[in-house]
Amino acid sequence: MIMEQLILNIKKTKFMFLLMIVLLTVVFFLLNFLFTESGDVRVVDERLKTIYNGKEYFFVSKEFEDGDSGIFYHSLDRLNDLKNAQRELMNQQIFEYYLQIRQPLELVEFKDNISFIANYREGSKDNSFEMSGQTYFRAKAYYISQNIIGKLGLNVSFGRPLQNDDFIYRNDYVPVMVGRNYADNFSVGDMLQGFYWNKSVDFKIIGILEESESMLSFSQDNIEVLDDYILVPALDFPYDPVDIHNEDSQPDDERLMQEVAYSSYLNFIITMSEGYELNDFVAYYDSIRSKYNIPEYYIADVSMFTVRMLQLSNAEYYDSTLFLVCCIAVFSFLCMCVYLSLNSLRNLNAYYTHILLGAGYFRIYIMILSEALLIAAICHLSAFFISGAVSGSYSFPLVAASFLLSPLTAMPAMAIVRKLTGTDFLWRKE
Amino acid sequence: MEKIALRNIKKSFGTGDRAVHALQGINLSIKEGEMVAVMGKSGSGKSTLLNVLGGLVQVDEGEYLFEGSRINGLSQRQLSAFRSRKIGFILQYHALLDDRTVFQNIALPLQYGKSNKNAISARVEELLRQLEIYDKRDSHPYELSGGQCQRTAIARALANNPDVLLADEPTGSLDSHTETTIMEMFRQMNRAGKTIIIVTHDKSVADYCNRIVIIKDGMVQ
Repeated sequence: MIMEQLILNIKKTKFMFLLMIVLLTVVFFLLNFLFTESGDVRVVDERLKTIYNGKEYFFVSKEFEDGDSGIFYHSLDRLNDLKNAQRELMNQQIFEYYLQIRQPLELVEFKDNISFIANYREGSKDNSFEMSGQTYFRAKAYYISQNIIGKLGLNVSFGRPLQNDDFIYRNDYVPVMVGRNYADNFSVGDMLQGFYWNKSVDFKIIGILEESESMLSFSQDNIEVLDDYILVPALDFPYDPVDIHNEDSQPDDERLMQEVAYSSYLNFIITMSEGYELNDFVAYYDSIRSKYNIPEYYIADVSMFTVRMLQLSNAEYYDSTLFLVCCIAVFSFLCMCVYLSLNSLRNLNAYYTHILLGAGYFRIYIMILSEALLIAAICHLSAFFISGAVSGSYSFPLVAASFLLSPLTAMPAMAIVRKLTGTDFLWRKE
Repeated sequence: MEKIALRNIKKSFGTGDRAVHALQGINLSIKEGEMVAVMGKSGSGKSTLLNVLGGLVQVDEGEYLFEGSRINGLSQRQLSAFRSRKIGFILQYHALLDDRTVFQNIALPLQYGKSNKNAISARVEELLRQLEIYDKRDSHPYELSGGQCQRTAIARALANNPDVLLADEPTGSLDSHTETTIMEMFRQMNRAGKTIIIVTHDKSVADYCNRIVIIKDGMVQ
């Protein structure tokens, strides 16, 4: 009966009902964002201001080509082209060039913690593979350029952060920083075996990040907590592969690694320098492409939604943003009260009819309250999915608080029903 | 047998100078199977009396006995159950729910009476045939004539087979031909054993009743 009346009420007030849904969804989303992200905001605030600094960021990605993921070019000249192109991209004044590639690192079976495994939450069944009698796992990792780490200023609990020299290939091991959760099983100086750009190498842990250390992930459009991640330097290879010979390494392996690496480095992030426009980048990059025969590419605007939201909610603006959102929340609360009260007035005759026919006031109150709760539930569900797409977390206290407040929004509507009793039942005309 | 007894019932609305003393010591006894017309001028207290009889308002003083049981002082839940089982309401403007069909309107009190689905369906079908509106079962009230609306309202009032029917100006919105038909229905229901109390201004309606009670200034004359 209550559901029946609820559906009839909603049918009657479709537009207003939808309006309330939209309004409250926005409010819940904003409040959730402030509640769930505010901790991260405080942590990354200064870094974020430094890296973001009001600038727009763009992804530049090469178009996929057949055979791109296999053996690439088999030509030393081609490899040198890619190397030189990347070096020119790094050393010009028109834009800043960053590498932040979120790609799993293939490691030989290690003291695994499932949370280190890439995509395990998404139910990936392809987290491991066998090769030469060994099991490799795909661990969460970011390949980053030196300037990214410089800007983010990541702090370590143990060891040291990656430094300039760590970004130059040294043919004995690749230095990495690991997230805090690795500290349970690993120490600074430990070696991990795995693949670096398709070549089997040793990784040496040179630093363990502080707990909850995080960085802005351009690809995820979010602040990524790095506790389960490995930060791998996007190495520069100053030597030709033919110059490297030792018992573990052959020129072909080296060349493949370098080809894969420099090919990957053509997927990068830029932000324009002062006084330059994106068109300047296009002109410059076209000249580089022509000079070094680089494939077609596309530019995508980094949505930076999270960044902008975080910028709004950073330390400087946090209080005013919170105040604004709270004002909107109070406004929504009042709107909800008005909406339910108007519904009550509109439905008075119906409610009184129900009372005449045997319904108690309590049942009418439940009818009103159930509408408030339904709206809250729908809005939370919508906000939950939007938040999931944007930031990935949702505040349970917010859900609890809003459901506890829902009866308050229904109070005026209930009071209307309660007050207008007695002779109002009969609607007589004498 | 005394069905309803009102003893020195008083009911006021508001406080202080603005207080309206709607009922000022009503004494009334209605026997089982009686058909009583309650008449009086506007503001005499007829509506309040009807609300009291229907258990819709609590009285300030006095005693309301239904089949010997005290009604005033019951909780809201008990009053709801009382209305659902014992009283059928028929109002001037029918009080039908426009967003429900004739069938659904008649089924409402049965749903509150917690009847099962099959029993509800059977009872509503029976009433639709009895009131000769079976062909309108899927229509909405706004698709019906005034007479059909009132038949629907009567069917709804009879759904739980209540002992007492309270009718407030039941023919007030109907033409004279339909009024006659409806009043004949009341007469038949009364002959079938229902106790009926009709509030009306219309002498011709009152003439159908066994007894006329005049209310003046909140008291029975």
